[in-house]
Amino acid sequence: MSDLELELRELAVDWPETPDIAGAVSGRLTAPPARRPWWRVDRPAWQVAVVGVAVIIAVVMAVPPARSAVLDWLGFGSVRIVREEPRPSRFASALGLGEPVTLEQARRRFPVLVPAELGEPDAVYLTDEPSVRVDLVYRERPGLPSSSNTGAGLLVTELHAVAEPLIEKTVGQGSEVTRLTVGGDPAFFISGAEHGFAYLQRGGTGAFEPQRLAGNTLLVERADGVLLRFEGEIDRDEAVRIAESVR
Amino acid sequence: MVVGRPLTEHELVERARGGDGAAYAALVRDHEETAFRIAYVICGSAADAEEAAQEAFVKAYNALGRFRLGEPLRPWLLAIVANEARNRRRSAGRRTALALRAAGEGRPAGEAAPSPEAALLAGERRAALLEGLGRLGERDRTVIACRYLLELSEAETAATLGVRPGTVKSRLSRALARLREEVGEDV
Repeated sequence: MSDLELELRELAVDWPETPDIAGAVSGRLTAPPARRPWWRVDRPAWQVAVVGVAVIIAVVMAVPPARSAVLDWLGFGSVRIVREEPRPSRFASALGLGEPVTLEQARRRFPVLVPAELGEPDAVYLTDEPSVRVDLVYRERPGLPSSSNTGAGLLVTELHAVAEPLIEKTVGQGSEVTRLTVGGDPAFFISGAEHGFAYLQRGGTGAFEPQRLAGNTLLVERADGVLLRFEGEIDRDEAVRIAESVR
Repeated sequence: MVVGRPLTEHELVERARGGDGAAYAALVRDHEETAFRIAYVICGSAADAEEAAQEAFVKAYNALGRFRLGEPLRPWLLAIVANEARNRRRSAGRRTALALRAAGEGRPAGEAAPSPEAALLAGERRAALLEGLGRLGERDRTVIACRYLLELSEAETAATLGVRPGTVKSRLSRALARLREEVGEDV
């Protein structure tokens, strides 16, 4: 470091007094932050229309070699997708849903989005660890047959996307991973053979819970930082349509 | 819930995201001084700096859903503040020179008190440096203020100014060269 740099570092500046910004700011906060969807934040109507249009770019990935590889380039921080045969545990048959709550109660902890296409869920579950997660369960109904993996017509999971993986997926030879965008946000659709699925273990060990098998799944990482996961006996177009209807 | 320890930044962010205004105010409190000073260096006026910082923290709250938990919060906030301060400066159309004054004795701890003559010389030197800094362009003085006056790391400075760390290095060396010229030093 040069003398000038040292001199600058040792300079004590007579700064103007810092005003009470925290006080002024807290008087201006109204609704909880993430509850306002990003596409509603003071944008001209035409921009909303543009992002509302479904943009689907599908790139079907070739079946990879059998050896295990972390598909980092998939670009989702919160989801680790590993190319290897699923290793489901017989201890992981349960879905690992949290506390049953009402939609209202869940909304106090998380900006819950609901697919307008399906309406209010039949059940809502809240989990705190390792991060706040909300599961919406829809019973089977016409167009949504009961899934052998979840026992429900559709399972919608919502959590805050983070840089570290919260979910591990193992995708074997028989599964296909399709890269999409849903409403402008990056997304993946995993279909074909069932894939392995596990959440990060609570307690900060960095390990994943025992895997369960999951059926067709659409994952969307929204620009507002919310990760959406839709699992059920649905094809890609149905999954995308439901995902696009979240409000 | 009983909490027997201060909440971590991570916990405060999670609560603020859930709409807890007090948690967000605590986060603002931690960063408002640095934020205000950066805005002051950019705007050149304390009133504009206050408005810019306030506006930026409100915007940051609304954008909290986009903040990636686990990443450092300070540079993310400071980037929003710096951006807001620049917009304000631009729309005001003013090119205010920055008036910075030295505060008292800035001598490093442990050194003997200087003689009156030495103290006078040192005081003049400090005043000359800060005046020179105030005459620099906004980019130059901001990068110098971030690194030396506010002691942000190179990575934090880069994130705050929205540039790559390599750009901070080159911008800083150019800014220091201009400051040397301002205070009449040979490079």
